[in-house]
Amino acid sequence: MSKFRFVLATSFLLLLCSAQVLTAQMRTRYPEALPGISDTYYGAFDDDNPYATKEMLDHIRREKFDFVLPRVMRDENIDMWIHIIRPWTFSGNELRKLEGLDLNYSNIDSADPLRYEFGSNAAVLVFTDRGGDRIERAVYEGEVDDDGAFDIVRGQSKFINQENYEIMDYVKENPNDVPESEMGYRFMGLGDFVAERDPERIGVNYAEKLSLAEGSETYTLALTDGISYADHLHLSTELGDKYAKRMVSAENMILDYLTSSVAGEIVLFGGSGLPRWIRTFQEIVPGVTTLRDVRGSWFSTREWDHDESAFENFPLQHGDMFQSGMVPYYILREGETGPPPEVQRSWDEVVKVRKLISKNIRVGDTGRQALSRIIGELEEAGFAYIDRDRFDPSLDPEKTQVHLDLHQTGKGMLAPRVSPMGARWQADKKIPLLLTLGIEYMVHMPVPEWGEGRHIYYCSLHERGVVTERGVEFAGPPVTGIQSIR
Amino acid sequence: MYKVRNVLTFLCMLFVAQGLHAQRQELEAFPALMNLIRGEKFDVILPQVMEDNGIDMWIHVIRGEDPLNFEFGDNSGIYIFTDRGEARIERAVLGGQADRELYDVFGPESDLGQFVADRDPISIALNYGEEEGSGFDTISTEDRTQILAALGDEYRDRVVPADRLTADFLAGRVMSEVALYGRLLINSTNIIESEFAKIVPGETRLSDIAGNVFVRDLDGNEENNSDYVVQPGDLIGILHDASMREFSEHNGGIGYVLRQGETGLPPEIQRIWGHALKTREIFRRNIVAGRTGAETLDILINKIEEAGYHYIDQDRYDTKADPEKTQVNIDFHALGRIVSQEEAPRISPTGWGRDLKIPLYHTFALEYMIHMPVPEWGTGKHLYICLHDGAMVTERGVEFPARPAQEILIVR
Repeated sequence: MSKFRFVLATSFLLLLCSAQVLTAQMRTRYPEALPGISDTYYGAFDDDNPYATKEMLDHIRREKFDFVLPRVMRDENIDMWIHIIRPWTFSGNELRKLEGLDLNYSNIDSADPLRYEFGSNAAVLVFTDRGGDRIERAVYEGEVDDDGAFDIVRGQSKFINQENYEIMDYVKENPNDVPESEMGYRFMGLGDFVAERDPERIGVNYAEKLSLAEGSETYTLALTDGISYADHLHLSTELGDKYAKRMVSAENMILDYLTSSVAGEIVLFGGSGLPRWIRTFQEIVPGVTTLRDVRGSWFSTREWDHDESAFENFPLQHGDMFQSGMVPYYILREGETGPPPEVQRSWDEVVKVRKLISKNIRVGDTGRQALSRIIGELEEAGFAYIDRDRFDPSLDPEKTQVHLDLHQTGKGMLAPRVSPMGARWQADKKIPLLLTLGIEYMVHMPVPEWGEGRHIYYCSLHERGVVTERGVEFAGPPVTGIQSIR
Repeated sequence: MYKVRNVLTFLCMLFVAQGLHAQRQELEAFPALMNLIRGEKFDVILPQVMEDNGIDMWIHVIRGEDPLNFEFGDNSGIYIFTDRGEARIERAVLGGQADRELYDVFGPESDLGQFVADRDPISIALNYGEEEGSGFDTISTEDRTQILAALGDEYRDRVVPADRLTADFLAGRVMSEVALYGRLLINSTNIIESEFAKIVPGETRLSDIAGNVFVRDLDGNEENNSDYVVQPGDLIGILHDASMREFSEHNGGIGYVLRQGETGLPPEIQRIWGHALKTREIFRRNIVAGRTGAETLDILINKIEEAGYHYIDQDRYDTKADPEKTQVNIDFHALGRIVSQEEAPRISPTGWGRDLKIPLYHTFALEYMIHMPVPEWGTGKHLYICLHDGAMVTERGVEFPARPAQEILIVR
């Protein structure tokens, strides 16, 4: 072969390899169904999922109105649900992101937990159970992204914008029919609308008991605590004594609505179907490259008192295992063709734990009941349960330690939660049918032959479980094993 | 110079090929997903269908191509599933190789007699069928003779056909299949919409459009994938599939070609769409898991007739029926797995699957045909549309894993 041909062939092969690596590592991003939804509803509306489109969001909204809305209202004995999305609660973060994109009012993100479910950032929504299969859906005031999902869309009040002439004319013409505060314009006439339907119990989006901000992993911090004291006052005035007295907190219904999935949500929860998360690490130089250099998540081979942050800049060595996202990577020692038996055994333990969990979560259980059952089964199977994600050197060194933090995912909330952590009410919530559940558990397997307290750690962040009457099934493939790095 | 040009051309082709591959890769069958589906079907569906059919042991002989190759494996062998009273059904392969993560026991075919005797099953299903049309009568005469001989007198009499068990197993869906099914539905809907976008009235022939494309005139005469040129006033139906390995579905869409001066759907077209939506709701509310297809069909016929429609058991306008009544034909066949589209629960006046029970999470086509008389256009004149949306039976009724047809698309 001539020199020229050799150089050409080599260049071509290099080019080919680098193109393939780039292709493998590239995370294709798609437009979000609504701004901010991929961060808020991560796991369902991820921006690397080509199927998480606005059309699917609209479709899911309608299916939930058809199938979930009647059930949750009837379960809570609510005849009418008034949900107020306050116009002034949009998220500044999203607004800043959207600046200069020439988007309109409805594209501004709100902090309301149901902004995507209802497709609105400012509205007074009224759902009325008038008998039959279908709940009447009204946008009493405000704008929605998907008019077709509603039976009545009255549009935005012309008085919302306080700087137009219409409001000046109105006030001049109706001096005796002006709300005490401009906040009340949103509810004008609502009293008659409600009286026509004469509900016994009216659910309104204010919190009564579930007052804690929802959780560390979500953007829906307010959760069910939707309206202000002033909103409550204005709404009460508009409804009049008779109906104001019938108002109750909708907090449990809101949680139930958010966590009950329809089939379309399972489709999105299955992701794109592509195993995008497996990476290649051709750049690792043992003893030089650090975990931070490769954007790894944490070391899996650990001492008993492992300090995660200190290890970020620690050089990776042959024989180390670390995680990047949910995938564990093992750096082969010289002569090794795969992970050694003790490392492989740690993966077998992970699979055992995963199977045990998936067989012991049942529809209708509270998170606490499920936790208790899983702990019992883990201990019977020879594992040691730990209520913190920290290796416990005082426990039997023969036993693999397991920590649990399973929770709802894909809807920007953590309840129901099968975990010793979080607010009490999160563990009190019942597991609904087709709950999209992040199967999050941590396995610490001692390796006594490596020295006292040394262990292998694996953390499953959010394997995509769906709770059915048959147990937990997976909407998409969980991690299949340890990847070897040469 | 030529060499350089050739190399550059080759590199360009390579990158183009990679780009095309990237666009298509949503339909690729990744091993992790395929293994998940296989494993979960064994874990979740297999125990249920064996219990439902009263089977303690299922013996399935594979010799090459088989309807269960995806689920069980491609290799020749005797696949045996035994209910030993635990949550997990024991999975064995005698005389063949299979995935060691999925199967528990391996051995030679000659072990069969002892293997069965050790487990002492009361009822043994074998892959033959006695009912016409099941499609699961797959064991050869030679194999059947040998298997029965190996079982001996005591167990030979316990053997029953596995055709219904096989159908139930194939029809059972795990959540990863549901998610995949939804993705395929979205893909086919996108294809259908792009095919409608291509149509140029007066120029495009039905044969230029991908899929199963049809137009019926006011007397019910159909043009199907022919050289018929699309005309204003046509109501066009397109069915198009999307598939990934053994998983497949086909969805439908409807388009109306505007006549000169029309800016939207004329009243008759809006009216037939209204019937499509009204009947869709009747169907969605009245299909539940646990009934057979035939039982369900009877219920649906009653419901639509109560609502003022005339049921027809063939997709052909009934000229003798009340001309005031819109006619509806139903064929809700299974979707999702290629081999189980026909040999699966079916809510239809035809097909072997009519007598099979509809399982929970059954994935099927909500396929129904509406023939709406338009008496003012003349006796027997009618409009025709075919709805074909991928659906699924849940505890709550019939849900759509992906967006069904939302409207009659307008073709300008």
